[in-house]
Amino acid sequence: MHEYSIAEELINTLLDQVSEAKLSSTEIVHLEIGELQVISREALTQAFKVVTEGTLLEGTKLSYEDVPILVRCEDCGFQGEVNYEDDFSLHFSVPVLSCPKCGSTVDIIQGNEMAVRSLTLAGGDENE
Amino acid sequence: MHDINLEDGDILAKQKELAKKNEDKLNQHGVNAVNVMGAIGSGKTALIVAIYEKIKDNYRMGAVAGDVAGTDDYDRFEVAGIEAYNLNTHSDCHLDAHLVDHSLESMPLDDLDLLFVENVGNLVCPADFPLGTDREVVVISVTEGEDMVRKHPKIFSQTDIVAINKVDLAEAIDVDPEVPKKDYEEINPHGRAIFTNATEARGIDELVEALELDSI
Repeated sequence: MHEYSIAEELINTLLDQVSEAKLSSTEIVHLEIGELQVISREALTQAFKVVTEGTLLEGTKLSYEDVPILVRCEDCGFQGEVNYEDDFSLHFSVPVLSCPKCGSTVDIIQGNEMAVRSLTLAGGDENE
Repeated sequence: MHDINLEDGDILAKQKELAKKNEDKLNQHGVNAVNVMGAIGSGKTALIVAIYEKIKDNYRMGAVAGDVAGTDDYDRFEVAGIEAYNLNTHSDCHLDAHLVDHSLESMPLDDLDLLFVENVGNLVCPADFPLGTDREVVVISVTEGEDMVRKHPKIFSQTDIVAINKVDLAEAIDVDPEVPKKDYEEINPHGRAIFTNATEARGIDELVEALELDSI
């Protein structure tokens, strides 16, 4: 249950990079979550709601965008998506972190993201 | 309504920065560090002590005992003769880089070659928090059931060494240790699963070798 810690890191990220005026008019925080992150969206949404009560961000919603895993093979140079272990007893597809072409070890170039991509602000326009 | 983009919206940027500081500090003092993760009661402390017994003549080893509360694991390290630091999180279910920095500030890093950081007993949360260690090991025990890998696939898909501990108890509780091993190898073909029994030092040589350490 580390979503409360993540919610606090999220708020610190916003406080560091966004003015109070903009934060108080923020309606939606758009997040990018890599497929390799072990995050419960429901728990993070609830944690964010609780932690922001009585603050500038009270009532702000979170929206989530999936970021798929991309790898680069150290041996054959393959770059792209990985294969998945589709054993139904695992309850969801588990990424196999090796080269789908040659089976060698891979560098993960995408899929570990946990980031704020953008904010939707109420009113005004982009040139204000 | 309109949208604005964030230039650097990485939520874990601060954690990564702190982890890098820990890594730099450990490197400056010539200390290699291992993050040991696993459920409560999987045998993390016993395995660290068993490893210590195998390598103590070759390395000056320390250990951080990460727990929500208490000094039980710290006491075990002390009894074994390991330079130890007790790191209580009080509420958090995982260690983070800032907490680990407290232990690095207090430990005699110049007198150490190797540091084991025993994470809080948990198979979910520690995976998201980098500590600045060089290696990660996940410990599971057969007493947790043969479906442990299936229940926590993501941490296993990203960890290259897994100790399947307490194998001596497998038969008595009707658990086949080959099941979690096979599950692990399917989702992490490059990983290494090692059967261990920390209390009788079974599999410890293999674990030491997987960690690229020299035993006695």
